[in-house]
Order: sequence, then structure tokens, then C-alpha cells
Amino acid sequence: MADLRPRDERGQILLIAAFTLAVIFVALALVINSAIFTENLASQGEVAGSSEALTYQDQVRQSVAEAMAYANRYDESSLGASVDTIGGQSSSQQARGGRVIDVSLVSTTDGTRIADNASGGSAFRSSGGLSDWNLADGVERTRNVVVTTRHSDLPTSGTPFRLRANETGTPTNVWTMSVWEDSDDVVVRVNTADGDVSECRVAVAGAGTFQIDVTDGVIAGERCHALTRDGTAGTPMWFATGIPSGSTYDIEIANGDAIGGNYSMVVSPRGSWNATTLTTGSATGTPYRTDAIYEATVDYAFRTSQVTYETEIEVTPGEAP
Amino acid sequence: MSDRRGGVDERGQGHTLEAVAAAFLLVASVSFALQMTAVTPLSASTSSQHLENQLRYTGAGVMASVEERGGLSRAIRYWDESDARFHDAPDGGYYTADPPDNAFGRALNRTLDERNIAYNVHLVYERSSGDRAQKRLLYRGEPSDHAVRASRTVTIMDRDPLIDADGTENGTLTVSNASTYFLPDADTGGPVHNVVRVEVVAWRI
Amino acid sequence: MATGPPRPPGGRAHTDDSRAQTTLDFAIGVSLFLSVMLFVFAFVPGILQPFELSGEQDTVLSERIASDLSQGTLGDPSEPYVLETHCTVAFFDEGSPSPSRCDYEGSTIQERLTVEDHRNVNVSLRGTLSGADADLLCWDATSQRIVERGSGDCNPDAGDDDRLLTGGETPPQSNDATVSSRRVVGIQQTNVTMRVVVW
Repeated sequence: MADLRPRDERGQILLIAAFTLAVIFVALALVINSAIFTENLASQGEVAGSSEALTYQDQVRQSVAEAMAYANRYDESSLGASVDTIGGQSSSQQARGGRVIDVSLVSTTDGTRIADNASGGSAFRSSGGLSDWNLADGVERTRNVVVTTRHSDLPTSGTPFRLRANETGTPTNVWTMSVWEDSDDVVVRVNTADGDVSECRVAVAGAGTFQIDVTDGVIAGERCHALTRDGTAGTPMWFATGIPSGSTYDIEIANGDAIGGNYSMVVSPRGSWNATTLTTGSATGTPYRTDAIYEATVDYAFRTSQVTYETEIEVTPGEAP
Repeated sequence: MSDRRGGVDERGQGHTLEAVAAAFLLVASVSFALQMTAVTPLSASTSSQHLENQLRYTGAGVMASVEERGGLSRAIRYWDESDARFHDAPDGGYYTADPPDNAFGRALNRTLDERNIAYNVHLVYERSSGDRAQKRLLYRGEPSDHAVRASRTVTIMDRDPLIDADGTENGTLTVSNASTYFLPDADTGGPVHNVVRVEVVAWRI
Repeated sequence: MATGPPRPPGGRAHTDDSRAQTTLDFAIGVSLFLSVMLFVFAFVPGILQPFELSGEQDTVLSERIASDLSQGTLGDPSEPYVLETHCTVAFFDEGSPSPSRCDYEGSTIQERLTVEDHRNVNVSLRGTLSGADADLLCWDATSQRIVERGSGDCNPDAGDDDRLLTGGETPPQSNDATVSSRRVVGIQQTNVTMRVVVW
């Protein structure tokens, strides 16, 4: 009898002990899991998707820039419809990821597109045949200045092709870009209105066409320090540097018959083009101007469950900073 | 008397079974706890969260730097009209072993291939009916469980030209008049052709 | 009087029978349980071992530095992952004051990254610009271009302003002690990899 009672009181001690330990281990797993989760969150380095808003803003800006390029080339009134489509498709794509995107066009700034699109390239003469001429007078802003040419059409260093931005009324305040070729290199020298000079050489192989993107500072896919920032001090050499903000400038070409190819630029305000040297419409072979959009302001809103971000994006593709 | 004898009989074996059950319970709880700790930020396995984050940022960085020069849009238009597939793509219509010979493919090769990272590239777009469709640009196999995805949105306009095999723009063919081009016009009345999301799925091998 | 089944003589034999459990059964059961318990007690501290690492904050720090540098400090925050050449090259110029227009200040890497001075940080840019292998990048002051260290144009000791695009202390050779983060960024019309090492 006495033997049985201890067994009665013993109960299922082994099982209870094991159960207690199991509960402790599960609690330990919970604590470790929360430690892992906290560390994972901490290691992600950004707060709740705020950098997503900026990354997506960059993508919207580039999409609207594409729509602007289309509108400027083909149909100026299409920009609003394009932005709406971009916004609609972006939101339906992002909605699958739990984000709400809202893109809408707020306003545009008018400009003029000046271009010479002769197929096969032509000399950069005015519509009247002048080699030194003004493209536009009283320009406030310029963007997307691109010259497409090839080695065989470039001048030698004796008579370089020059593109100038000359402050209206102050002929001594001028930003000049000179282009020539030196064996296989394309040489670009820039004199800013502040007095800085820089020259860059880019080796361009082959006889095909290449682009000199003046406002972006890229020649045949390579950065040119003479068009961007020069030296260890990073002296700005961008297009029209040195012309005080608030003043307007004139865009001039000198030695236009020394070079051959195509060019294009968009200037603002709309009326600044020179009526004597440019034709209207898009007759190829002579430089022409058309109405274009200089800048589009787009309202962009980004919402997730944790972030609300709204801003107005100014889209000016190819404008020098 | 008979009850107690019955209880004692069952309880006798019960002690042994109880010990076995207790041992089993302990092992089960430890293995449960173990699964929680399999993933730590610094554990040396391919599933590490830190490494996954790096992959995601790498994919996003590659696409951002390529698209700064317009490379993604050109990669989407790198289409061979006569073959009805991307230029030099194998018979399936998508690239497998070699990335495409354009700026995007070279960037992917430079940054991902030499670090033993496998990747797939998908193009996700909408049809005009609103249905979502997906096309493989590059496919290297089923991603592992620890793959990450980075995506970037690119807009293609109606008169954007197709890109020839050497990288130059085609003079006559555009995305709208090329009959075999895979991307439909999602907005038939407007100038936007389609808004494509380029997704790069990457994982370590 | 109701009697139960006949009881065998001897009280001890009676309890042995009705226990229906031999000492061997009990021994097996309890020893199994004890061995499992010993195993568990020896094993569970091992689960916690990854969490005892010192320098846990290194991961967080290197991620934060890499994110900051690639998404704003060296470029434009509205264009992430694209770096601006002049500010990037000046960032690796330790000892000289920072350009005023760039988003960082100070003259050492730690000051520019706003981390404490005792932290060991190394930031470097590597890429495949020419050739087939990734190499540390270098700024060639004569042509004002970013080139690979192995190309002939990079002479950081020669007195002109050529500079290797790496900053901070040299990381230790044994990789276990370091945490590194990588980002792919665009600079000078190409992609390069930025590597941040913290230890």
C-alpha cells in the first residue's frame, strides 16, 4: 500500500517536465525570431519604402520625357493624353504591389524646337545660306542641344565649328564651343563666359555617325569634361555657363559650312527664334523651327500603407544643370 | 481493489511510454525552435537576408544606370522583324546562355555573371483589353527559393523605331508598324504604345 | 463476502505482478528521456551562437553607408544609383576639403560618411571598363576620365592628380571579420560596383 501512494502523488512528472521545457523552447524560438526580424529590418537601411517613392519618381520622370520627345516631334497636343496613359498603366502595375500611383500633367512651358534634319547631313547654314548666323535671340533656357555628325564632315583645327551663347546686349560675355577633329580624335574646346577654358578629346573610331550631346556633355557615349565639369575644382563648363541668370542670350553658329550633319535643340521662350534665318515647318534641308514643349510639370503622388509622398516633377530632358 | 489493480497495471507501462513521449516532445520542440533560427543575417548560406538585399539593390542599380542612357528602352526594341524574335535569340524566342548584345545585356553580364549570380529577365506589360501579359527576355532556369526581384518601368511610344542588330535605329520599322513585334498597343487611340515593366529576378548559385 | 481472485502468497510477488513493468522497461524509458534531455541542453546554446557575434551593427552600418552613397550623397537623390563624376572623385580625395556643392563635408572618410572616427570603413569603386576582369578604378587627371587601375593611364604616385577611387583604411585580409555591402551604380556612362567594407 505504501508503495502505491508515492506513485499516485508522483503524477506524470516526466511528461510535465518535458512539456514545460517544450514551452520554454517555443518561447525561445519566438524571442529569437523577433530578434532576427528586428535585425533584418534594421539591415535594410531605409525606412518603410521611402526610397521606393524616389526610385519610382525617377521612372515616371523618364517616361514623361519620352512622351515629351514624341509630342515635340509629332503632335504637341498629345502630351496630356500620354501622361494620363502613363499614369493609368503605372498605377495598375503598381497596384499589384500594394502601391497607389497618381500621375497627372499640371502645366507646360512653351518653347521652340530648332533643328536641321537633312537626311545624310548638311552644312549648318541658315535658310539664306549664311555660314555665320543667329539661331535664336533672347533665349532664356536651352535644352537638348545635340549635334550628329561623322568624322569626314568635321573641320580641321584651322577653322573649327563654333556654337556660341552670347549674352544679349553684351557681346563680350559669350560661351563658345569649338569642335574640330585631330586625326582620330574629336576635339571640343569650351570657353565659358567666366573666362574658363577647357578642351577634351574623344577618340571616335569608324566612319559612322556619332552624337555630340552638348548640354549633357557626352560625345559618342563618353563623358567630355570640357562640357561638364573641369579639373579637380570641378569648374562648371556647362552650356551657357557664365551668362548671369536673369539675362537672355543669343545662340549663334560660326563657320557653319565647315561642318556637316544634323542638329537639334529646344529653346524657351517660344518667340525667341530668328525669323530671318529659320523656316517654319519641317522642310528638310534648311534649318526649321516648330512649336515644342520646353518643360512639363507633372504632379506625382505615391501612396503605400506606410508612406504618402507627393511632389511636382519638372521634366526638362537634357537641360544642363 | 480490482480498479486499483487495473490502474496500476496500465500505469506501469504508462511510465515507460510517458518517458518516451516526453523525449519525443522535447525533440519536437527543439526542432521547431531550430527552424526559427535557420535564417540569420550573417549565417553562411545562400539564403542570408543580407545577401538577398544586396541582390535586390544590384538589380535596381543595373537597370537605373542602363536606363539613364536609354538602354532599357532600346533593349526592349531590339527586335528582329523577319525572325519574329529578339536579335540572335535562340529558338525559344528568349536568350538563355548569352545575354543580348546591347548595353543592357553587357551591363548584366559585367555585374552579375562574374559573381555567380543567375538571373531571369521578364517583360511585363498590359494588352489593350487590360490583361496582363509577360514575355521572357532571358531565362536561365527556375529561380531558387531565395531569389529576389528588381523592377523598372519603361514607356515605349508609338513611333519609336526598332533597333537593328548593330544597335542603330531602324529607318523604317517602328513598334507600331512592325507586324511581328511582341508588344501590343495598349492605348490604341493615344501616342503611348505600352508601359513595360522590366523585371530582373536574381539568385545565387 | 465477495472475494477477489485467489491471491498468491507473499505480498511482494503481488505488487511485482500487478505493476506489469519490469525494471528494464523503466530503465529504457527513463534513460531515453534523460539522454534526450542531455542532448537538448547541450544543443540549445548552440542555436544561440549566431546571435552572440560582436559587431552586429556592422551590417546595419555598411548597408546604411552603401544606401546613402548610392542614392543621394554622391549624386542627385531624385536620380538614384547614378553618381556625379566630380563629387565622386572628390569624395575619395581624403585630406582635402570637400567641395561646397557636394552633399558631404569634412576631410576624412569617416567625417564624410558621418560615422564615428573609430569605425573602420573602406569604400571602393570597382568595374570592368576595358578588358574582362573587374579592377579597382582610378581617376586619370590628364584625360579627366575614370580608368582601371591596371590600365597604363593610372599613376597615383607620379605627382599628377591621379587618384585611386578607394577611401578609408585597408580592410583586413581575413574576410570573416568584415561585413561588406555592394551596390551597382552608374558613373561616366557605364556601370561600376561600389563596395563598402566595415569591420
